[in-house]
Amino acid sequence: MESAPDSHIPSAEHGKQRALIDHSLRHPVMFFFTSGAAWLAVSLVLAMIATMKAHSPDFLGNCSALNYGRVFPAHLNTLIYGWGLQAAFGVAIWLMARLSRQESRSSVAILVAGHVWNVLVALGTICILAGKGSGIYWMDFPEFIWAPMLATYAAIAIWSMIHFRVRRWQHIYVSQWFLLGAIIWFPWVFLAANLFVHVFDIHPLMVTASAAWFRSALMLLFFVPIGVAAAFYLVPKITGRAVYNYSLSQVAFWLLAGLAPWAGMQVLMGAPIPTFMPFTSAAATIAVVIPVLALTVSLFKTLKGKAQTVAHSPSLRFTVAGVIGLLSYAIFGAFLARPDMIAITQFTSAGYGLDIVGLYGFFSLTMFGAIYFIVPRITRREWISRRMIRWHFWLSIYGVLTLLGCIALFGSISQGVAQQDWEQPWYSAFMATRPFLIATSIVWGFMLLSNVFFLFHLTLMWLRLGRRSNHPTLLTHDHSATGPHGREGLIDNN
Amino acid sequence: MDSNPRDTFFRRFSTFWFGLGLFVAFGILAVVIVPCSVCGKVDAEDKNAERRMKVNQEVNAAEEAALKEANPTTAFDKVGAELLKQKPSASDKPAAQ
Amino acid sequence: MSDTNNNSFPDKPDLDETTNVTDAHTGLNSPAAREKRLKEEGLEPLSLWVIIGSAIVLLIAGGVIGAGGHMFDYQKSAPVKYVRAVQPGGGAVDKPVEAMEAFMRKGEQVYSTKCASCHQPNGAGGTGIPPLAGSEWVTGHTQTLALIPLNGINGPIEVAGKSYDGVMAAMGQGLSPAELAALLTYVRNAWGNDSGDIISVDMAKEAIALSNTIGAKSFTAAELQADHAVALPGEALDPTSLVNKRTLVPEKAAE
Repeated sequence: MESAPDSHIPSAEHGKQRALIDHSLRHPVMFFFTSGAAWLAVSLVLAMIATMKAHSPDFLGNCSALNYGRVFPAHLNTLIYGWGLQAAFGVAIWLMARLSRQESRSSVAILVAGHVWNVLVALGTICILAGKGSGIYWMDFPEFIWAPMLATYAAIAIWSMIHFRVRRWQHIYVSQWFLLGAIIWFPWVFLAANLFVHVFDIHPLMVTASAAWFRSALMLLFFVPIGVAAAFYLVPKITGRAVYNYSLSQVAFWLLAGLAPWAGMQVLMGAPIPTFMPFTSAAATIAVVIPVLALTVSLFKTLKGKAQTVAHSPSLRFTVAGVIGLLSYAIFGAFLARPDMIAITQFTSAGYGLDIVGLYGFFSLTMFGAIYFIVPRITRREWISRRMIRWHFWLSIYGVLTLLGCIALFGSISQGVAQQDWEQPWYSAFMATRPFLIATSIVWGFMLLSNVFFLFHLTLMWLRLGRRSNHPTLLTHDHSATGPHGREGLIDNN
Repeated sequence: MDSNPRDTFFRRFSTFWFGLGLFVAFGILAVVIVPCSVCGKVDAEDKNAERRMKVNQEVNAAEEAALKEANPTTAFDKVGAELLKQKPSASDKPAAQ
Repeated sequence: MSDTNNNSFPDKPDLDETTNVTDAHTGLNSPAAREKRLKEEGLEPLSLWVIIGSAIVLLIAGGVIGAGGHMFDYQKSAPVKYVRAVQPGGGAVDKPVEAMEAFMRKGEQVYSTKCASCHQPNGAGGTGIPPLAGSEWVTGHTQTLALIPLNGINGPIEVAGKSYDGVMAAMGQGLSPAELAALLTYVRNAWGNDSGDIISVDMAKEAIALSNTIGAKSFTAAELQADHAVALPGEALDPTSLVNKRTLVPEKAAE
């Protein structure tokens, strides 16, 4: 019976409703995905330039806009605000609309807001490259950008709140918990950090602590819930099973809500701030492993015995890889948050490496999974090339694993240990890190390649050049006329 | 589509404003509380600066008093004559090793 | 399992009061199926390993908070093990240097910061500023020389055959004894002045003590010549002996 939340035998009526919802949201969602993917490609180009500049400063000459101090913040901020937030918006508004069974009546407003968002990100990035960035890690856009950004966010996200409140059924899906959480937490985190950093006239150390807190809070209270929401939708949907132990997910939600706001300030261990701040943050970062573990267990139990499905479905592959990425992010974050590890890795690239594992290894992979699921349903076409999807997947996996090893773990620890040897000149610490930096540049190159494939593929879909077929693009080859999808050529995607 | 008794205009309207209010709630709280708690705070840096400025002013006053003012033209003539009288000397002597 | 023709609201989760358990089990004819545990959807069992893993994580997190130590005591804000101390026997070791060389080096540094702007780097002085090169006040009695930067000097003074009449502030106030000793030694031995001796750190300490006793009084040339035309008390330091190049204190060479 379709009225049960987890039944997957579609009735014609509900299929039609879903199609109407998808139709109403097609413009904003495709816009967010495509422009997000474009910003991702830009960010990866900047990442390559930044890491090349780190070990060979004469790469691309002496242009001041391409110096490391400008290119690196530009890379990170386009990754977060250009790609991360836009992918999050696209997935969040579609997912909330679908789960609440509400058609979107405000697609025009969302689309306009999306364009404004892109203008703001572009403006901010140009300012950073021109040298006008604020210099605060993760908040490098100049001061005037944050207020319009928050207003634009409100114009995008408020409609999802309305959808939730007027939802058809009383039952709340796991994903809706996390989406609502993320929608409400983002303004709090963003507003709090920007007020304390840019507006209020407070002690400069408080400014530093607020910026450090923002970095972790944006990750744990916005990116993590959105990625988890996507996973908790796709896994049951594609495998056809109910979520394993719904109450566990609720407990995990409240644990995350309680623990995550404390985290972030462990990067300031040893700074002249009150001692309880870095230590509580370190403990909270370690404790966040518990809700993440609970969520991962719930998802993997739902997937139990469905390895074939995971292998065949691009969405599920990416999502499962993303969930593993989330667990790695939490565990390595906890590992690096111990005070003795912080003493070694505090002034190394460990923090950046961990950010990349979280932003790419978890969040981007989950978003790719969601995008591979959503786009065929909105454009009513299927993905064109199985091969591009495979390349995208494997290059991303290899890339993330290498980056985890090179930057987050071995590179940073070797850099830290070499820096601790204070009787040597600092140059020797740099030479110890140099091989890892070179490996990192190469890896960014491969990831750029894989995402150029993705952007190209996505743009073709956006231009409605996808395959008109009843057969979804799966990563296997068995499609016959007698299979469950019937004959090729019928467009009736569900 | 079947009717949804929860989907009323009032609900949408109230959720819209309630949601926007929720988004900015912490901001309003912060804007109200933080400036009130920061004003009247005495900064250690400012206190030290006051002390240093006092010493600076005393030194300046003493130097002003000790300065014997002269007409610029006579001063330039005198200084110029002195400079002409001085013999050139090597100023870049390498430091004694 | 419960049937419904209600389109607006979903089914309640299976197994509530309205469900008849026997009816729910019809169709499962074999006793094995009937005895099978019916899991209530949404409350499947949780593996013990998850709970154990969470407990271990919680223990580690608690340990980290414990490692914070005095978290709210602002007097003890630097955790004990966090500030690295030099291992006993480890650390960079300064080789002791010949005394005159060490004093001259350090003295030149102090001079260029404090004195060179007026007296010139070559000690030649300027308009209204007496030279130090070839000055009898510099190469003369050490106490006279020491009190000039420590207390300041004013009024008419004759230096190297020319007379000057100005005011010098106590530019040497705030120098450490080592810095003062190095400065005085430097001016006595540079630019052709060849007193050949070293004003040691102990002598500089005596000079500073004397200056503090006298208080903040700027001398005139006459007063200096009358009352302080003596050498500073203290043992002479052999210019060829070895000293630590930072503290300018005599030190034996390491074996």
